[in-house]
Amino acid sequence: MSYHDPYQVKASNGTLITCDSAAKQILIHLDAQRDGPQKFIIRDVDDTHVLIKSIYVDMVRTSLQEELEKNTYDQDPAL
Amino acid sequence: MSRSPSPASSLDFVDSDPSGSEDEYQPVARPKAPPKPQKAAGGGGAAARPSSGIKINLTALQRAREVQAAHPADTGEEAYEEYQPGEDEEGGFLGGEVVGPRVVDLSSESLKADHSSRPLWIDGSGNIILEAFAPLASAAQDFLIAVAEPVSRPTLIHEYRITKPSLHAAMSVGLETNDIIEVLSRLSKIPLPRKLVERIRDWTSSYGKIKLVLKHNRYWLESSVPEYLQLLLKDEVIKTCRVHREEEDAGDVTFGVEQVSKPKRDYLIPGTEEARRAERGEVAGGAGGERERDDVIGAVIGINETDELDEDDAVQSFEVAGEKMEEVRRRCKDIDLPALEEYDFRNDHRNADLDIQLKPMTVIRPYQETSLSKMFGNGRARSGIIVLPCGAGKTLVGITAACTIRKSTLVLCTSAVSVAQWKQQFLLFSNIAERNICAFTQGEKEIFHGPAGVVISTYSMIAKTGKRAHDAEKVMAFLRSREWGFLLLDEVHVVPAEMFRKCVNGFKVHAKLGLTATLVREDDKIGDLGYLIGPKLYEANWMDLAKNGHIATVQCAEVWCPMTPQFYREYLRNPSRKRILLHAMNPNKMQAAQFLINYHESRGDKVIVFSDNVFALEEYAIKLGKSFIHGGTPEGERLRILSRFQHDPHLNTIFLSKVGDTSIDLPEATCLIQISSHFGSRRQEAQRLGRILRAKRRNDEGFNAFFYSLVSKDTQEMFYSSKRQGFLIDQGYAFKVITELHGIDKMEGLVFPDAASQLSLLEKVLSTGSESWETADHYMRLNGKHQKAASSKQPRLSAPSGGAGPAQRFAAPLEHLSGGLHMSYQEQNKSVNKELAREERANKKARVGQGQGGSHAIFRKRATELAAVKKRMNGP
Repeated sequence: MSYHDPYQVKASNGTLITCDSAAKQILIHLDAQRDGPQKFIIRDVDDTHVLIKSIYVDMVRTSLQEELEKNTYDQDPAL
Repeated sequence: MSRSPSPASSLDFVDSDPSGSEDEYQPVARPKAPPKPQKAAGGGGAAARPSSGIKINLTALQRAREVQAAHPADTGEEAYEEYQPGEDEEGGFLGGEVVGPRVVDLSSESLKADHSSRPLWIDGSGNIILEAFAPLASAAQDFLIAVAEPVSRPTLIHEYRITKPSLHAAMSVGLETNDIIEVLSRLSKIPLPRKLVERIRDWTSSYGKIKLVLKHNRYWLESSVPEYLQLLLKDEVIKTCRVHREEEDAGDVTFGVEQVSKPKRDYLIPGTEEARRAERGEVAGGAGGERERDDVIGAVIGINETDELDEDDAVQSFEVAGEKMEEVRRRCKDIDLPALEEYDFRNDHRNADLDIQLKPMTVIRPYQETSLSKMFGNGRARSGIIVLPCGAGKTLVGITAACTIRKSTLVLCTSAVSVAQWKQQFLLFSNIAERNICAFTQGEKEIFHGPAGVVISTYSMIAKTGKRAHDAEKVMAFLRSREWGFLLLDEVHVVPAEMFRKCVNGFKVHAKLGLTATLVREDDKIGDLGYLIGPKLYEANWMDLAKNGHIATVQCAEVWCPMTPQFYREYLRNPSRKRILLHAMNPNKMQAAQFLINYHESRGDKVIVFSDNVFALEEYAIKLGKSFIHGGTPEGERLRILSRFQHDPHLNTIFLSKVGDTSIDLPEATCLIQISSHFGSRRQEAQRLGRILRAKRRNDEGFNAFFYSLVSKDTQEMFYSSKRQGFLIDQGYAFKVITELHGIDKMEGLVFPDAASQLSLLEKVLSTGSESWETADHYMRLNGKHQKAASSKQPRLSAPSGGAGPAQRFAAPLEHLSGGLHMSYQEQNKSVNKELAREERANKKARVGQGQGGSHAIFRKRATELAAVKKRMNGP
């Protein structure tokens, strides 16, 4: 058994995201669907800022894009 | 986003792409490498057509420049570039830089020498681009409407597509293959692609050659091409359906085929310019006065002229058995020789004539005339569909058609309200006797007496299966037993195919006419209409009608309302059913609605607010203090609100649910706000727009009607909103996007100003049951809810019903028990509907009081004196 120091300083690499409040809500929603180490939000700063783990930045970007795409209409050329 | 500095519109408008027409092309493989472009030879046009040439080209250029100056972000740019004389034509087609993988590259085609005076670009797969600013455009447009499907018609560049159904429709109005190809190639800037020519020949080879004619109450298959008739006579199925008659054997040529001369239109459609001219004693034959202007591209365009061209052709026919009609029709379709149905109503002597004529005061508009001339082009009534925008007088077209045919007519429409409207319009526009016109609805079940008449009913009445009431059964039997000259189908797009078949096939009908504003459905059932009724005969251009003042000019805008963080959080977490309620009830949206209503009321507009969601409708209306109508509103209250909306200058806004989409006719309305809608229904969008197209004030100078669609940002609504707009954009409407309402922060009395009130609204939304987003009858529930809210403020006196709760006991004076001590309940957000009812009652009471001599002493005294005088006069 190794000794575990409760006061040990833990550092993790974070990226501050600045976005509008709707995008932030989407991020929180995405985060809520994951559990344990998969969660990416380190801290919810304020209405338009959120700190996330840096390694997830690309993933967050694509899934946010996906989420927003859902609300965009592409005209069906056949119509 | 740029903010508009002009104070006149205190709203931020950002131009959205009005059409995007150039993005819609299918890629077409070009075998050749792009060759050198052929330069426009300046005077080259003179050789082919001396009248046009440089001069016209310059006018067009000038006009394009003006238009471009007026709409900087419009399609004008492409138009302008195209008209740079001597510029490199290769890049000119689509503005150079927009060439992408989906764009058709026509640069490999060689331009005709006088291309600048020809308005069309045509590619091999049947896409046609029309330069709507070109000198020949209006004539070309008339022609294109007949042969091609309009895809998109914004201001300057129109797009059409030649399809099989569209060619069939062209054939059905009497155009011939060679004429179509001839005119297309004359109008085109480039030689017609061979592929397209072949395709047109292929598609049109068999269509329209065979006609199914009901003459003297016998069915005839006729054709001007004897080979096809021979083909049919050899056919197994049709052979058995043929009727042999001895007395006609003498007249038979080979194959028992009779010869008759080609029919020609030698009567007048009432109410048209032609008819009026004839009345004034001028020669009707010279009616081409107006039409002469399109002589430039020859007589081939005019439908009537084509018929005269092949006048010498003999028409041959043979008779088929009436009871085997359905079989014949199906067989003809199967062997790729679809039969057109026509009704020779003037030679139908067995069915009694109906005494109906347009009143002399009734004048029909030019586009209505055009649509009718397509229907009666060759002297017989063709079955088909006429597409006109809402408010452009579809009813009058139907009535005029009925007045032309003058036989018993059956009209089917969507609801009892429109039945009443049709009946009233028939009486208004024509001289039909009231006893000859009757309605068949849930409430009214009448039968006309006499040889001929008009019956108006609804689709659901006719198609109803199962047991009917005795009198309804009697009427149905009457309807089925008769032979009808004309079947008029209003709003044909709404009817599902199955129900339709029942309506159409259940009766013996000679000619069918479908009327609609929006020939689109979200399912692909629209094709069935072509088979059940007939081809599309005419489709009006909305922009042209608006330009000529027949319908109102409308400014369309989409207002983006950001979701508040709390609402958006719940939106993401909730299932899609609840989402609808959340994005409809977004507090920012409600504020935007309030702002727009106030803004437009202060300008003197009458505002209609549409919401599909009844819960949202009531919440909005009560919160903003406006009256509302939905499915559960009692009839009397509905009428009261509508009449107040029309006549009371203090009641300028009403909220309507789906019930107002069609059939409610409110010419006073000039502004329309949409807060929640039925998913991506393009038809609903167009129908709602139709509510303000008939605005009374439309001919005022500079008058604009306004159409706002409020959309919650980052939600599904954005998706559906863009989809919904598709139809209107194709008609040439441009939606502006408003991201911020200028001045909304300064408005006083804004609803839900702070986070606390927004949260309580959210709570309310979340706590409503799932049934609340459906169009149920909430009216009674709403009334009940208010009583409940009142009682919860009172001390509880007894256990809740059911006896489950624990008993409570306390001492109190009697007035406390009756709620009179200090607790008083006042309703904060009153329903305006109820107030109107109360006012009405008060007015009535006052009127009754006046009837007895007035309330004031002076009037009472005067009344008694008057009575005394009267008595004295009568006495001796």
